[in-house]
Amino acid sequence: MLFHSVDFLVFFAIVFPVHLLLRRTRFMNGWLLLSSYFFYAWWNPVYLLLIIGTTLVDFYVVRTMELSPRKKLWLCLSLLSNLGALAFFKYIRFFTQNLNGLLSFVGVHTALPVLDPVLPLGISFFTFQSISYAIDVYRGDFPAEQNLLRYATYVSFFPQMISGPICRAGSLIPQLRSAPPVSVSAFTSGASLFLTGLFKKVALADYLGMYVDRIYGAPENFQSPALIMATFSFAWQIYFDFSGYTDMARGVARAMGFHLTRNFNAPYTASDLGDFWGRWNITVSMWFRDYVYIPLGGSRQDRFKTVRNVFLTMITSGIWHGASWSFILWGAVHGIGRMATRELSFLNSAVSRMPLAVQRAGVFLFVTFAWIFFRARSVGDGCMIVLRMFSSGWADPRFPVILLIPIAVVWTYQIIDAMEGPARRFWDVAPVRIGLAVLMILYLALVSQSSAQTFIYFNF
Amino acid sequence: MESMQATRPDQERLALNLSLRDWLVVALLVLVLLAAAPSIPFRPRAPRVERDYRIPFALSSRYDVYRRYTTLAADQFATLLVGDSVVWGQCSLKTDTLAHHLNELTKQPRFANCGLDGMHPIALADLLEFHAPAIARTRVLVQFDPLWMMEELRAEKGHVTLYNRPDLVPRLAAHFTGPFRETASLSWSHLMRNSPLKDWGERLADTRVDFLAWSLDHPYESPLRAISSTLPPSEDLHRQRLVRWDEHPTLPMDSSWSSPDESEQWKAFRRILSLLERRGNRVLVVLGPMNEHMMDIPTRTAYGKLKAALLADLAKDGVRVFAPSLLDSAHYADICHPLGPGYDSLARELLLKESAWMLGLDETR
Repeated sequence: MLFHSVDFLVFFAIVFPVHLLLRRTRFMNGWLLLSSYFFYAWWNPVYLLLIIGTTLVDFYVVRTMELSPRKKLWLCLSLLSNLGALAFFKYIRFFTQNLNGLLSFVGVHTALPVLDPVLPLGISFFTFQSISYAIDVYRGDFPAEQNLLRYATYVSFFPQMISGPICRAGSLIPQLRSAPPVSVSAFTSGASLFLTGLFKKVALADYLGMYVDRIYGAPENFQSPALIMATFSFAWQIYFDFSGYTDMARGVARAMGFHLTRNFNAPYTASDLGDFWGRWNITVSMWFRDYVYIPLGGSRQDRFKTVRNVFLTMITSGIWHGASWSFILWGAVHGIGRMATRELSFLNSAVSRMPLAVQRAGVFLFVTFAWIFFRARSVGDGCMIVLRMFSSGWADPRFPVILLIPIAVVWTYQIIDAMEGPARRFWDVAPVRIGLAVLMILYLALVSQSSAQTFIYFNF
Repeated sequence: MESMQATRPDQERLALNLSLRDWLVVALLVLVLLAAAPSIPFRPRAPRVERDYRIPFALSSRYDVYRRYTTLAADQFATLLVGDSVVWGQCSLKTDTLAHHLNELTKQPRFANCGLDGMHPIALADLLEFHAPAIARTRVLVQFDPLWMMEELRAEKGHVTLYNRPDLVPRLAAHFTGPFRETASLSWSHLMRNSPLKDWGERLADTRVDFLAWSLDHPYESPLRAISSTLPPSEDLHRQRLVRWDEHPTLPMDSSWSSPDESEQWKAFRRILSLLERRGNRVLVVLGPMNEHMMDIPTRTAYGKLKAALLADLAKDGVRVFAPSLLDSAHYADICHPLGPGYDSLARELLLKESAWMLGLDETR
C-alpha cells in the first residue's frame, strides 16, 4: 500500500480511530499488528507468511538465547534465519548467474538453474530490524521481549515496515509497551510531516524522475549536458523520494503517538563523506556502523585495518541496496571516497582549510557522481555514462528549466534552516507556514501527476 | 562512520509544523480556493480548433483535455467522429484520418476527429457520459470496432475500463493498488457517480493543469503556455506504423468472437447509443471496417455472422447503421486500422451511400 494513495487514506481513516479507542487497552498491539499485516498483504498476501515465519523464529530463538549459556549458537541461528531469507529472495539469482558465468569462464559448461523469486516488499528492512534486535539482546543492550504480539508488532509496524526507518528495539518496543499519548499537537505535527513528505514525493521526486527516466533509459542517445543534468536530477530525485517516504512514515506514526527515528538531515549540506552518511538514511547507516563496522574493529585498530573496515562496510552497504554489480561499485566508490577523505583529514592540507561552502559542494559533487552507478541499469551503462559525460558532444540537454525552481527552493531552504537568524525565523511565521501548506496542497491537487509512482527504495 | 550521529526526536525542527489552528485555516483556504477554482477563467476559449486536430497520443488519458476539445468542436463542427484508434488514426498522420478525408471531399471543415486511442466501448461509454457533456444534441458518427468482440480481448464486466482507463471514473477518484484494486475502484466509481460533488469534481478536473509531461518536450517554453492554452498542440510525435499489414510476415488470424448477447463490449456500445439518444444526438453507427484479408476462413465466416447479428440487433431498434465494404488489402495496416488511402476510400463510400446524413441534408428535409 502506498502512502500517497486513496487506499491508504481509507485504511488510515479506519485504523486511526480504532487505535485511539484501543490505545489504553491490552488490544492495542493486536490491532496494530492486524493493521500492519493487512497493510502488507495489500501488496501480496502470500508473503505475509514470510514475515510471520521470521518473526516466530526470531522471537523464540532470541528468548532461548537470552537464557542459554551458548548464546552465540542461538544468535547464529537467528542470523541464519534472517540472512537466509534475504539471501534466497534477494541474492539467489545474482549468485547463480555469476556462478554460472564463473564456471563457464573456467571451462565448466554446466549451468546451475537460475532461480528468480519475487522480491518480497521491504525484506531488507524488516530482516535488518530483526537482526538488530537479536544482536542487541545478545550484547545485553536490550532484554528479550516476552510478549509475542508486541514483538510481532515491532517487526511489522506498518508505517516503517516497507522502507524504514529501521527502529531499534530499545526505541520502538518501549513505546509499544507504554502506549504513548496521542495529543493534538502530535497529530498536527504528524500531519505536517506527512504533507511535507507527500509533496517531496509526488510533486518533486516524480517530476524529476520523468527527466531522469528519459535520459537513463537510453543514455547512449544523449550527450554530456543531458547526462550531467539527469545525474544531478537523480541526486535530488532519490533524496526527495526516500526522504519523502520517511517523512510520511514518521508523520503517520507521530499522528498515532509514536516517534520513529529521524532518517534524513539535510544530507546535501554535509561537509565530508562521514558527515553525509550521518545525514543520509541515518538508521541504515547506523545499522552498518553498529553491526558491521564496529564488529570489524571500527577505527580502534591500525590505519590499514580501519581503512579496510570502512571499505568493507561500504561494500556491504552497496550489496544491501541491491543484487547487482552496479550497487557494489556504488558502495566501492563511496568506500574509496570515505578512505580518501579520512586520510586527507589527518593532513593539515589545503582541503581541510577550504571554506565550508566549497567542502559542501565537493561532497555533493562526489555523492552525485556515485549515484551514476546506483541509477544506471548496469555497470556497463554506468561506465558508458561516465565516459560520455567527458567525451561526447555538447548537444542541448533539453532540461525543463522549470525543474530548477523546486531544487533551488529546497536548497535555499536547507541553507536557511541551518542558520539561526531572521531568515530562519521567517519560516516560523504563521502566515508563511499556512501559505506554504496551502500552496503545497493546491499543487498536489491541481498540478502534479495523477499516477502513483512507487518509491525507489521499495526495490531494496 | 564514527562521526555518525542520530538526531533525537526532541532535537528535531520540522520544515513545516502546523498547529491545529494553522490546519483549520489551511483547510478553510484550500476549500475556498478549490471551490472557486473551476470558476476562474484562466483558459481563454480558442476561437477556432484547427482543422485535422486530434488529441495528442501522449494525452490519450487526459480526459479533461478531451472534455475541452469536444466542447470547442461541438460549437465549430457539424459532425463529431467518435470512437477508438480507428477514428483517431492509429496508423495514419493527422492529415490522413477519416475526418481529414471527409473534410477534403466535402471541401468544408464539417467533421471533427474525436477519436481516442484505446477507447474500447466500455471505456467510451464512461468517456462520453462523464467527459463529453458538450456533444449533446450534435451529429455524432460513432464507430464500433468489432475487434473488441474477439474472444482474446473479452472483457469481464467492468474490468477493462479499470484496467487501462482508471481515470475514467469521475476525477475525484484516485488510483487504487493491491489485490482488491478492481473492487475498490468499482465501488469508488459507483460512489462518485452518485455523489453530489460529481459536477464540482468534473469542473475541478477541467481546472487541473498538467505542464509536467509537456515541459519535457518543450523545456524552454513557459509553462503558462501549457496552462493557458485551451488545447495542447496536435503533434504527430508517437511512433506510427504507416505500412501495409502484409509487408511483414503475418499468419492468418485465427480467432473466435463473442456473441452480442454475451459481450460486455457490445452491451456497453448499446449503452452509448442510449446515452446519445437521451442527449438528443443524431447518430450514425459505422461498423468496422475490419481487415478480413487477414483472417483465416473460419474466422472470416464467423465474423460475417457476427456482423450480420450486430446489424440486425441495431436495425431492430431503428438505429441508423452503415457497414462499409471491405477495403483493399493494401489499405490496411493491421487487423482493424486503415492506412491513409483506406480512410480516403471509406470517406468516399460514406459520402456516397450516406450522403444525406453525412451532409446534414436529413435535417433540412
